[in-house]
This record gives sequence, structure tokens and C-alpha cells, in this order.
Amino acid sequence: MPMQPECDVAVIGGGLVGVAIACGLRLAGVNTVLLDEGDAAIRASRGNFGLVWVQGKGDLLAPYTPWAREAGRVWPELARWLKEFTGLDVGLEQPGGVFLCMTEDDLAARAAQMARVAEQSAEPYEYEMVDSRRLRELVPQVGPKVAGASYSAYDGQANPIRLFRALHRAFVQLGGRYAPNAGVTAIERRSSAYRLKTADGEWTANRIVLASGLGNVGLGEQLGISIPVKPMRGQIMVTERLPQLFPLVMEQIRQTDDGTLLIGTSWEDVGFDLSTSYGTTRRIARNALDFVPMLRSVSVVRSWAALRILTPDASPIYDEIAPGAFLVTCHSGVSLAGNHVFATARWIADGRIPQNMRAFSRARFEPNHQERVA
Amino acid sequence: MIETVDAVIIGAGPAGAAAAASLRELGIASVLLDERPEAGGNIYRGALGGAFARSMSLGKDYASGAAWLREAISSGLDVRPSSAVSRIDADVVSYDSGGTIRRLRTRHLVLATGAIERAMPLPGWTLPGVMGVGAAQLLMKQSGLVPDGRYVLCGNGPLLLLLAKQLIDLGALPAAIVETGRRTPIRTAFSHGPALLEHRASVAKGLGFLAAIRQAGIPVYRDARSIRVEGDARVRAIRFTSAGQAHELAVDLVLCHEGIVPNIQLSLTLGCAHDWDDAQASFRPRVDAWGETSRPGTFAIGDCAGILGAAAAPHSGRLAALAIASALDRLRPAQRDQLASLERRHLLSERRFRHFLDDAYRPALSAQSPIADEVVVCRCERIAANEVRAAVRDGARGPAQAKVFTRCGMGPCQGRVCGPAVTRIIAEETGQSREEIGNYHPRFPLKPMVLAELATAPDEEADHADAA
Ligand SMILES: Cc1cc2nc3c(=O)[nH]c(=O)nc-3n(C[C@H](O)[C@H](O)[C@H](O)COP(=O)(O)OP(=O)(O)OC[C@H]3O[C@@H](n4cnc5c(N)ncnc54)[C@H](O)[C@@H]3O)c2cc1C
Ligand SMILES: Cc1cc2nc3c(=O)[nH]c(=O)nc-3n(C[C@H](O)[C@H](O)[C@H](O)COP(=O)(O)OP(=O)(O)OC[C@H]3O[C@@H](n4cnc5c(N)ncnc54)[C@H](O)[C@@H]3O)c2cc1C
Repeated sequence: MPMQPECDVAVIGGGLVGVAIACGLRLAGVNTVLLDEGDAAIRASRGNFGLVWVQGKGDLLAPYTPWAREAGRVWPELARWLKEFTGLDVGLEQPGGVFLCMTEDDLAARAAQMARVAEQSAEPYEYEMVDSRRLRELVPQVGPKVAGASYSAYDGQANPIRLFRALHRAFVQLGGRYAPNAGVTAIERRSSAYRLKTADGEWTANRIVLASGLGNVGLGEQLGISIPVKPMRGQIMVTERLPQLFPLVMEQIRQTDDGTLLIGTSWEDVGFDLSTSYGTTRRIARNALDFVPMLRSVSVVRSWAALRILTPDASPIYDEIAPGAFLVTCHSGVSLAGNHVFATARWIADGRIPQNMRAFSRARFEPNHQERVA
Repeated sequence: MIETVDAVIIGAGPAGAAAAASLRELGIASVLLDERPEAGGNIYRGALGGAFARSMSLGKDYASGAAWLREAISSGLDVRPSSAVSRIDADVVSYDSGGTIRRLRTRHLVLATGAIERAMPLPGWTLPGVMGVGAAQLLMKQSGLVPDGRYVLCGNGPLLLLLAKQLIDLGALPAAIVETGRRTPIRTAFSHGPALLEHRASVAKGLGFLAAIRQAGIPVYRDARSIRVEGDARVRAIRFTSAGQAHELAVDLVLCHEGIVPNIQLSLTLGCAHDWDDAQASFRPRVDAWGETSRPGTFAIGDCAGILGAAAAPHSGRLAALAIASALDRLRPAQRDQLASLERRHLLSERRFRHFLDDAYRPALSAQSPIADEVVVCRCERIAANEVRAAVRDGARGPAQAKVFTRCGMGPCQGRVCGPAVTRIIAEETGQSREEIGNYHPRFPLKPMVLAELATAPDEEADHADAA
């Protein structure tokens, strides 16, 4: 029997990346289904820090710098649209941000990194390295032990869980079909369509989008393609609500629009272990008090761990890895959300990859890629 | 070096105290932690130094239980009160003691954290002047406080009747009892005949409560529905219908109760498997015949493993102690099994009686009829039932997604109060079973803790995991 595709595109994975693409596809009028796992799934989108961050991006892959800047520029449009369309305010603020450096060595390393990024950038790249005194003019609450910071006006923050919800709501309101409890277990390519086996029945689609975060590794195997992402744990603590404190966003401590502080974070290569740990909790608390000593008697109400989805160069992958099978993954799904809804979804809708997304192919990780390019 | 002990028991109520005492008899040293300033748990609250520690005013069960507990505690156990467990990492238990973190390493962890009152999310339940029957009773046991002014008892369950009787004896009569659910004791009783015969003393006690309420002339409104607590800054009145008639009673205080549920925060955080218990309308950790959970070496005893009551608690504590002693080679398996059979007989008998109580006192209001849209379910974040329903429309199929969509359960109590209500709303909206939906995963620290305390936590071993 010939296969009747039930939908044009099946987006696999209902985290921030998948739901952003799915929304964008619906905006482009594409018949889209969003297949997702259940409530207990591993989801970076439920445990991230919520920065809309630009500075320093592209250190290891130059084209990421303009892509990240573009993301910062389109974010206000995304926030406005979500507010109008879903009624949810995703709390975007872009007052500029500082990356704090505790020691002079940290500060020197950061200065070198920022200089590299600026130098690679085709358009002017504005940032400032600030010493301890200047830093405290920018953020008076920072403690005297902190050596300095990098500052850029490009950075900001949003409420990541409200963003996550707003995108889900928008997708449903746009007539998209969301299928939870439908983790994909097998992918088969049949003539010109894909057949997907899921925990909740089968789906067929003309095209598929692999947007499953760490789950992409297993999906890639189904297509015989290795996808170079691995988990990198980050632990975060959240405090009680406080009155709004800081004039700028700090990469290490930020205040949400609900008033709570998020304090982060760690980089731990521990596989799929999602537990928090005593030692890291202690270290994060110590650092936080060095950064902002006035927080001594603020209560921590909860802590959690989430898994970053990391490529070797910490930059996204956008690639058509098989005919009609698109791979989308990144470590900064909040920061890049606007790009994903607008530009990335359009690429999948019409199949033409725009110039500024071409550097993000999977092939860049293949051993002899550099030589071939040369 | 982290202090190392053979067993750590969390919760010094009858279950935990019995486990510790039993371990001690078997030659095993354990540490008994409790977050309260005094051992005793919920039932024997104030047993060591409370208002009624050595009086008969709360009945002879309280008096003799209190005496048993005092004896167990004074027999040389290592009891550490004011020690709230804040986190557990593999075999290390961290607890807060007067603003300082202390740690213990152990191979055997016994959860004896008891029960908490089931939340009763009815319109107006967050107004000042509404409190739990259990909470009111604890105030009474601890500080001798009894309600002054006009108050009603609202809900159902043995604890509600017990408190009514205790307050009548102390001369603080309730204005009325607004009872939820239909009472069908005769028919229910018939199907539990043998258990009731076996527990005639308890039955007599219960009938005594009912008689006392009748004799005191307290109006009882049966099968109350559409209950609302009215008031602006605080409680002014309670409204409800009963037997087809609408009522409004002017009151200053409403004491609510629809039974108790296992306090499973710790077992959830540890990732132990849990099952939905339909008869008790609550989740409980899955345990084997010794009380061991799905996390090897971790036991759950007493009411935190499923409500069985104070009389059963010591028996499950002793069973866990026997299993631990055997695991430590201090007891031969044959001896262990022989000692266990006696405890099991008691437990079985208590379980039979509990089946009757579960049948007779279904949480009618908080488990059966839907929660009204505008009623706040999550008190910490002030999230109403309709917001949870909206989260389901946005695609949430369980508490984790509903939590990030709404902030429900993100406050300081971490969903201890709203967990059952949220699971239930999702079940009603999606048609999934409670089991499929599951519960929140509370996170460390289990109780809020200031940054300075976390930052100065002892570092017996430097952290290695995040050297990068
Ligand atoms: C600690 C931490 C802090 C962070 N801070 C920031 C920040 O400040 N700013 C920022 O921009 N980014 C931040 N990030 C990164 C950001 O959270 C991620 O980039 C983003 O959430 C990734 O979204 P995703 O959809 O790719 O993955 P996920 O959120 O992990 O979602 C993957 C989805 O795919 C589903 N899935 C998996 N396998 C299958 C399958 N076989 N079939 C169907 N569905 C499947 C899963 O159930 C899940 O829903 C942070 C991440 C972490 C861990
Ligand atoms: C409010 C209330 C009042 C009750 N009153 C009565 C009554 O009058 N009569 C009756 O028959 N039954 C009563 N019950 C039921 C009775 O509590 C139980 O049947 C019995 O006490 C169960 O004993 P247990 O040892 O399992 O737990 P509990 O006696 O409840 O003891 C649990 C102990 O664990 C401690 N704990 C919990 N979490 C932590 C933590 N993280 N760290 C450290 N310590 C912790 C608590 O402080 C508590 O002391 C009441 C229950 C409640 C909830």
C-alpha cells in the first residue's frame, strides 16, 4: 500500500529548539506535527539559566558571532509576537551584560577571548574590558574580590520557562499538532517519505527535523549518521524572591522577572547523571558570595542540574543530513530562539539554506574536513 | 573525615524511635535525626516536655505512648533533635543543625518521616483563620493552645473526631462539625467485621468520640457540599449545603481535615519507585517485606511508607532493624525471620483495621469532586486550579512540565502541599492514571537554606567532580 504521509514535516523533540522550529513552520503554513517524549524526559529547556547572551560567542567558530548577534537583534520581535499572540510576557530585557572574572588571570584570559571574537567579526564588535572599580560603577553590588569583567551592550535575559510555554502555546494556537508521550524509537526512509515509530503509534512525514537535544544521537544512528553532541552538566540554585537588584545582567548570577535569583553554574562531564552534588553546591554558593557579598543571608529554595547539549566547538549544527532530514541542535536555545522561529524554520520550509547558516554543517567535525576545505 | 555510622534514621516518631531502639538491642549504633526540637513525631508531639507530657487530658493512649517514647529515647540512643535533613548524596546524609551543616556517612538509611495532612483546596482555604486539624492539634500538644472564639471542624477522618473529643474534654467546644462524604458506617462496618472484632478497643474508642460529640450537643452537618470559606482579610463565615439545605455559619476559625498522606519528599528526591494507593488516595514508596525501597539500603517505615497509624509504626521500624542487623551479620537469617514473624502479625492486623478506616473515611472533597477553577492549589506561588488546567491545554502531561509552565510547586514547600492536587487535576484533564502521571521531583535543599550556610559547609573531601 502506498504510504499516505500524515503531515508534511514531523519535528522530533519538544524542547526549546524543536518547538521554536515547529512554530516557525506553522507560521510558514507548513503542516507540522511535533513529536515529543513524556513528562519525565531529559529536557535542557526546563533547567537553563535564561540568558539571552551574545558576547564571546563564536570563539571557536567565527560565523557563530554574527549569528548570535542576529539572534539578539530579532529577540524583541519574537517577544512582541509571543505577547500579542499568546498573552504571555516572556520577560525579555536587554540592558547589557557582564561576565565576571574573579582573578586577574581569569580576566586576562577573558580579554584574550573577547579580542579574538572581535577580530574575527566582520561588523564592528563593541565590548569593554572593565576593572574592578569600573565594574562596581556598572553593578554596585559586586564584591571587592572580583578582578573585573567583560561588558557588552548586546546581552540580556528572558524568562526561559515562560518562553518555553509561550512557544508551546503558540504552536498549538497556530494549529500545530503536539504529540506528547510519543518518543521516536525508529526511523525508516520509504521512497520519498519517513516512517516514524513512536511510543504512541506510527507517523509518516515528507520531511523530518531532528531536534531532540541529546536524543539526536540515537536518532542519528537510525539514519546511520553520527551526531557529535554530548551532555555537559550544569547545576543551578534558585533563591527566594527579592526586590529587583541589578542594573545589568551578570553571566553568573541573574535575577528573574519573578524576583528570584538564579545562581550558577558548573561544567561537569558526568554523562547523563542529573543529580546535584554537595561539593558543587558549596562551590557555587562560595563563588556567589565572592561575586555579590550582600547575598549572605538570602535563602536558597532549590537547586537542580540540567544537561547542556554540547558540540565540540560549542556552536550549533544546522544541516540536512539526509534528503529531507534536518538536524538542528545548539547549546544556546534561549539566545537563539528568535533565529530558530524565523530563519531556521524558513530554511526547513523552503529547503534553501541561507548564507549565514551555511557554516554550521555537521561536516565540520569530520576528521579531514579542514584539509578538504583547504 | 565524615562521621560514619551503621544506620541513620530520619524522623524520631514511633517508627524511627522503635527502629533505633531495636537496632540498639541488636548491638548496632544508629543516629536518629529529627528536624523538630524534640523527639516524638506527630502523634507524641510534646511527649518529652509539652503541655500534656505527663497528663491524662489527651487520653490514655497519648499518655502511655508518651511514656514509651520517653523510655526508648532515654535508653542511650543517639538522638539529634533540631536536625533537618537537607540533602543526601549517595551514602552521605547532610543535615542542618542550628545553622550549620553536618554530615554522616552510612550504608543504611531509614526514612521515618511520617505523614502530613492532606491539603483541602476549597474556596477560601488560603484565608487566615483556616488551618489543618492536625496543625491545631500539634499546637495544643506542644503549647497547650486551644481555639478561642467560634470555630468549626470541617472534613472527615479519625483525627478530626479525635480532636473534637480532645477539645470537648478541654472545654473548647466547636460550633459545628461540617462533615464531608457520606457516612455509611453500618454497611462499611459489615464488610470489615472480623477486623473490627479484632480491634474492638479502637472501635469502642471511635464510638466514644461520636458519643462525646453527640452528648455535647454539637451540630453535625452530614455530606456537606459546595463548601466555601468566606472572608476578606480573614475568615468570617463558612457556607455549604447539607441535606439539600444551604447553610452559613459565622465563624472565626475553620479547622479542616481529610486524612493524612505519606510524607514522601525524601523518597521522591532519592528517586525511589512510588505506587499510587487508590484506597488512601496518595502515593507511597514501593517497599519489600522489610521496608526496603527500590534504592538498595534505603528503608521507609511508619506512615511515610503508607498510612498505617501509630500502633503499626513501631512494628515496621523493628522489621527494618532486623533486616539491617542481618545485612551487617549481627543476626542469622533464621533468627531474623523468626523475630520478624511476630512483627508481621501485628502489622497485618493493623492493616486490616486500616482498610476499614480507608473505606469509612474517603477524602470526599479533596479526592473526588473537581477543584473549582479559581481555587488556589499552590499556596507558595499562588497558582489556581484553572492555571494548571491551562498548562494541560498547552501540552503538559505531568507535574514536571506543569511546574515549568505555571511555577506551581516551585515555592519553598516544593509541592509537598499541592503535589496530590496537581496530579489529580492532570489526571482529570487528560484521562491518564495517577500512576502514569506521577509526582513532583523535589530538589535539594529540602528546606530553604541561606547562602552563607551553604558556602561554609564542611569540606571533608574537596569536590572532584567539577574540577574543570
Ligand atoms: C545548566 C544550563 C544552563 C543553560 N543556560 C542557557 C542560557 O543562559 N541561555 C541559553 O540560550 N541557553 C542556555 N542553555 C542551553 C539551552 O537550555 C539549550 O540550548 C536548549 O534548551 C536546548 O533545547 P533542545 O530542544 O535542543 O533540547 P532539550 O530541551 O533537551 O529537549 C529535547 C527534547 O527532545 C525530546 N526527545 C529526545 N529524544 C526524543 C525522541 N527519540 N523522540 C521524540 N522526542 C525526543 C525530549 O523529550 C525533549 O523534549 C543552558 C543549558 C543548561 C543545561
Ligand atoms: C498533624 C498530625 C497529627 C496527628 N495526630 C495523631 C493523633 O493524635 N493520634 C493518632 O493516632 N495519630 C495521629 N497522627 C497520625 C500519626 O502521626 C501517625 O500514625 C504516627 O505518628 C506515625 O508515626 P511515624 O513514626 O511514622 O511518623 P511521625 O510520628 O509523623 O514522625 C515523623 C518525624 O519525622 C520528622 N521529619 C520529617 N522530615 C524530616 C527531615 N527532612 N529531617 C528530619 N526530620 C524529619 C518529623 O519532624 C517527625 O518528627 C497525626 C498525623 C499528623 C500528620
